[in-house]
Amino acid sequence: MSFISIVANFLEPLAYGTCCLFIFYYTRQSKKVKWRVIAVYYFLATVLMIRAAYASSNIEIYNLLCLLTHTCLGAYFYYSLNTRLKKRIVLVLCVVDAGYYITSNLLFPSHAMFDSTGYVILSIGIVLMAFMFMHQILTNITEDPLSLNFDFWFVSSQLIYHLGAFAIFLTYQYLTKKILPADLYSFENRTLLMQVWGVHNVLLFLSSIITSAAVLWISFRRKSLSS
Amino acid sequence: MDILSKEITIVLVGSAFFLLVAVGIIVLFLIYQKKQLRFILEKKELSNQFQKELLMARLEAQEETLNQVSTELHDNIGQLLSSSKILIGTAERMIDKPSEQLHVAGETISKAIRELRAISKSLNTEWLEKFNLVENLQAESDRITTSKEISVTLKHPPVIEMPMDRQMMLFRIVQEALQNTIKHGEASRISIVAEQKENMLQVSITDDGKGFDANDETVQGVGILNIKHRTRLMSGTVQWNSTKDGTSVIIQLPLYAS
Repeated sequence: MSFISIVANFLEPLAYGTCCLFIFYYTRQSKKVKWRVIAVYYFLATVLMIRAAYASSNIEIYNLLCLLTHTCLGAYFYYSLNTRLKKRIVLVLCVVDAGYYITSNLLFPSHAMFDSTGYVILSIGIVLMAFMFMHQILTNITEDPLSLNFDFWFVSSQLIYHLGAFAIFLTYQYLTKKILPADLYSFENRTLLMQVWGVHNVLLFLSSIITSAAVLWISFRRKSLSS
Repeated sequence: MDILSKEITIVLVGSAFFLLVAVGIIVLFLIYQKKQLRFILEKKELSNQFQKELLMARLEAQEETLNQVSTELHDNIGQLLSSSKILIGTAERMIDKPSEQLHVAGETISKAIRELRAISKSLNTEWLEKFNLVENLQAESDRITTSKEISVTLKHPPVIEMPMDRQMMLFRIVQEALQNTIKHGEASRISIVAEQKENMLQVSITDDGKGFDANDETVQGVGILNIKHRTRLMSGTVQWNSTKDGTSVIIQLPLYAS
């Protein structure tokens, strides 16, 4: 198995799994609903990605992950944001995504290719929610250092992943369609496409590293401050 | 390079661009937040400074008033009492058999003059500044014990290493607490204990009076407010523990101003 193949197939479960462990460690004593939601989300995402890595056709799993991500992160932002308008925007975004999922997967199912539209809706939604969260931080500045704010690092990692991978989400279906004709369906072209997905996985892993490093940093700082 | 490779390169460049945008937004956000936080802290610092200066000015005005009252007591009322005492003495000498009442009146006026002088001294900052905190506390305890039929005991370390201006301010705090006890506490015994621990000084004023509800802000008068203001100005803390068997005021202050 080549390095590209490992990155394209196994970096996703590794990224979600790492994040899952660190978030469970960080939120083990917390009763905050939003943290429990993201802990459960990462656990389910890890399970789904492990299944996807070994499945012959994993488009359905990716579509389910898309809905799960929007629902769980939507719930997280719903509990994090403090104005009614922002909460409503989060709800609308979640409803739009759920509506799209029902239409494209249940009413008119087509699992032949990666669903770029679904992931673009997801990315735009998450980026919007992340901006609303950052606006909230700017309008409610406290004396607590931002570097010890877990929510800030988590949202930043989501912003990096969803904004960074936006171009890939947007074009992945188009690129897949492009290599489907028999004369273009070569090993080289499939490897090229795998490399693109590999870059997406690297971005996901980077986002997971940011969240995990934030957990370690905050725990270390709190321990050193209390001792 | 074929078309697919070119398109993939464009996608990857696009991804790199969006990634940089995301990182840039986060960095800018951190810088802006830090700047805003600095601005807020500076504003808060200025506001605290202003409050402190306002408080200081108020306490200085209060100190000035106390000095004026002290001077008035000593120079006017004191003089009137002294004249009265001289006149009673003269009258006693002019009468062959002066009545006992006249003698008692003379004694009472002498006592009044003594107490007036003691009060006048305890109010006069210039006079108090001639002595250290322990000496002033001892004089105040003696004055109350003599005049109010309340037993005041004082325990203190041999030396209190505190700058003079802070000693004065602390003396005023204790004086205010004692006044509160005398006026409202109906106490018969008061104990003042000063303890020095490293860079902190703790002064406890305990009485056996009727106590009060320390949490009820409506019963807190000007005296308690003055104590709180002065303690805050000295970067210290004050705590009241009150039961029906008495009240203790615990004041904790750093020896030196921060």
